[in-house]
Amino acid sequence: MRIIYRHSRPWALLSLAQESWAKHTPLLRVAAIMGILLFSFWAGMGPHWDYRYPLHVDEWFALGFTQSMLEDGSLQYTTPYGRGEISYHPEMGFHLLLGFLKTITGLSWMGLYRVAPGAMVALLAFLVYALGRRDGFGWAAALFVPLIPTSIRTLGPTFLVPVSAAMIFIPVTLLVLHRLEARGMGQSLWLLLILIGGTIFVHPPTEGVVTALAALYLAALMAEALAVRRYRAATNLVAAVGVRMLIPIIVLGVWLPSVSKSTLERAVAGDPGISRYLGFNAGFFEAFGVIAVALFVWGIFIFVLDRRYGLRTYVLPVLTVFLLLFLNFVYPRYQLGPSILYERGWSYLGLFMAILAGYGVASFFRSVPALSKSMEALVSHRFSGWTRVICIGVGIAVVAAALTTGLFNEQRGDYARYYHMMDDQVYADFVWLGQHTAPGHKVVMMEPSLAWAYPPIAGPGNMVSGAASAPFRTKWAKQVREVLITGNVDTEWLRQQGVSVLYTGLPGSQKYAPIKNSELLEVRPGVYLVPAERAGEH
Amino acid sequence: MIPSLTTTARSRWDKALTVLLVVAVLGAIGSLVYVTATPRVGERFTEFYILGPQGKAEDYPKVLVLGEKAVVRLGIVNHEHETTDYRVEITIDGEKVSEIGSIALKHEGKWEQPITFSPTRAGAHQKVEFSLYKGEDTEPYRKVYLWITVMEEWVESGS
Repeated sequence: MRIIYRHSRPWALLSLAQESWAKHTPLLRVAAIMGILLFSFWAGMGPHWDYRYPLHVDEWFALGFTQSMLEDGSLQYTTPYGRGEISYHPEMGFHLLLGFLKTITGLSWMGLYRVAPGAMVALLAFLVYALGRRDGFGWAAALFVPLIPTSIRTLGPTFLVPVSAAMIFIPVTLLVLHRLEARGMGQSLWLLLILIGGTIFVHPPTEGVVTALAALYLAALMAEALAVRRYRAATNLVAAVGVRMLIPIIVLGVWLPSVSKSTLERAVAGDPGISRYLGFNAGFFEAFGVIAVALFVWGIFIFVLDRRYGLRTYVLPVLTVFLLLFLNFVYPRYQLGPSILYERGWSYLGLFMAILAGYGVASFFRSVPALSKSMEALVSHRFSGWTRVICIGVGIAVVAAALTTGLFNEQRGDYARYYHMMDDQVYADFVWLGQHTAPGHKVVMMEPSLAWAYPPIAGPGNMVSGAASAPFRTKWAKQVREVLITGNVDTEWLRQQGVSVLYTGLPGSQKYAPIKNSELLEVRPGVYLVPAERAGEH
Repeated sequence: MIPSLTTTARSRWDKALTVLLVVAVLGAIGSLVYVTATPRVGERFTEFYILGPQGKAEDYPKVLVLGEKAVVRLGIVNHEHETTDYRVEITIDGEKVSEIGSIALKHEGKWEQPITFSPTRAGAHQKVEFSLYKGEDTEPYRKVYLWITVMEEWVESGS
């Protein structure tokens, strides 16, 4: 049973692969995209493989809010963090998404977080694939999506947080905008409305990016229409796109003026906790991978030179370069605009870089026939059959090198700075507290950042006080951290604060901070009950 | 001229390619599901706690009369990834009043029982300490405690 070649030239196999590809295109395409999605899922799960809890405080925070929202069955609910009632959280769309996923899958919060971050990266990769599929660069761009760096500061796709969920709207918006034509664009425009409207409820800063994209594409389309003196078409375009960009903002402003006002105020004022800017963020580019960055630069040039989308071609490269310069040089120096856009802008930049790097790679493979022909003229007849194989081999090797150096370089870990704020012992303690103290107890963590994780683990009805995590500081957090260090805690002070349970677990160490107090009851290691009165004073 | 395979060889190639793809995709999905559903071996520790008589972290004995028996629920949960023997010592102000054990628990095994203790002397602010020992260890692995006041005889307050 041996395969018989009529010719033994090296491109026989290549030709055969091409024939097979043509014959099995649908099957192979599905298999290829499945492979890419599995790769994205695997890469997206990177920091989660050997850790079964959410990684970032924002993930815990979102879980706590979502649980309370589900519990109260309303978008107006009491926060589990002792901050009274919340009315329409600015990221309620994300909380609804999480609640929906939990309800339809029946998974526990930890079960959901076991798979959801990887699934979210795979979804983002799929949408990037969809963006470039018709133009032949979808597969390559999708391959680069897992390289988008994630860090505890700037967040990113491997955390299940509002910004990573909202990022999935960006490739779809780009797809609509690339396909937008001056005529017959009714359906696309309604989709655009849904995308902008959806983003504003999931993550308002990303809505700003989506709107900016839409505005830039609109400007390019208008310029195209004006260049050929189609003034009516240009006017219609402005009216149609402009109105749809404004509708969600107006609806939010009228429906929830307080949310709009607070979002706007926060955007203008920035976060008081953000005081350190990264300057030129070499770590981000190292985390993306040096080869992938080179492919991104190559991709920008090719994207512009191809001019595939008319004037709109320039929007994505220009926006990407602008974002790159703004984040690395302008914002750290002048702090122009909302700080949240500076913090989250790195994720958008990473996404645009992945798309453009993919475009560059795809263009290389598209040019292989022409390239190999040119090479044939330069080499002897004996080797002429090898040129195409060599070109494809080089292309595959470069992509493989870009992916491996991007995913497995040391700087990626340094940039991410993942930490584990939860461990099995603390988790068991929280479950126990939830089962045996609710309701009506005010629980305080000696390590304030742990407080974010308490309500989702302890379960419905459990509340915690004093949640705080770096870089944000509160007077309360400072006080309890001092207690943690000294071990001295005044029972009367705890009573005055309404604290009924004190927890001193130190995650990652299997240790509990000892407390010097002769009134508290330690009913479980690290769990101290504050008696309503001194024993005997009944 | 483009070189090609014989018809038989091509047909075999097609079949092999299809099978290979299906196997690869299924294998990849299976591996991901397995790895996702099987997290690493967790930490080794034991839960040890006391609850009030109703099984909640409240209503712990606070004031007793000499000779009166106090009831608490004592709980042990084994997360040591191996069967472990435990014993519990109960002391009041350092004086041993009771010992429970040995209790053998498998991994993820749970033991929770009401236990009684009785103070031997009157006095305010006595520390009732429950110490958990693993295996043959002489040093306690975990300790929890309550404070009690023991009276000679019951006195109605506020009368």
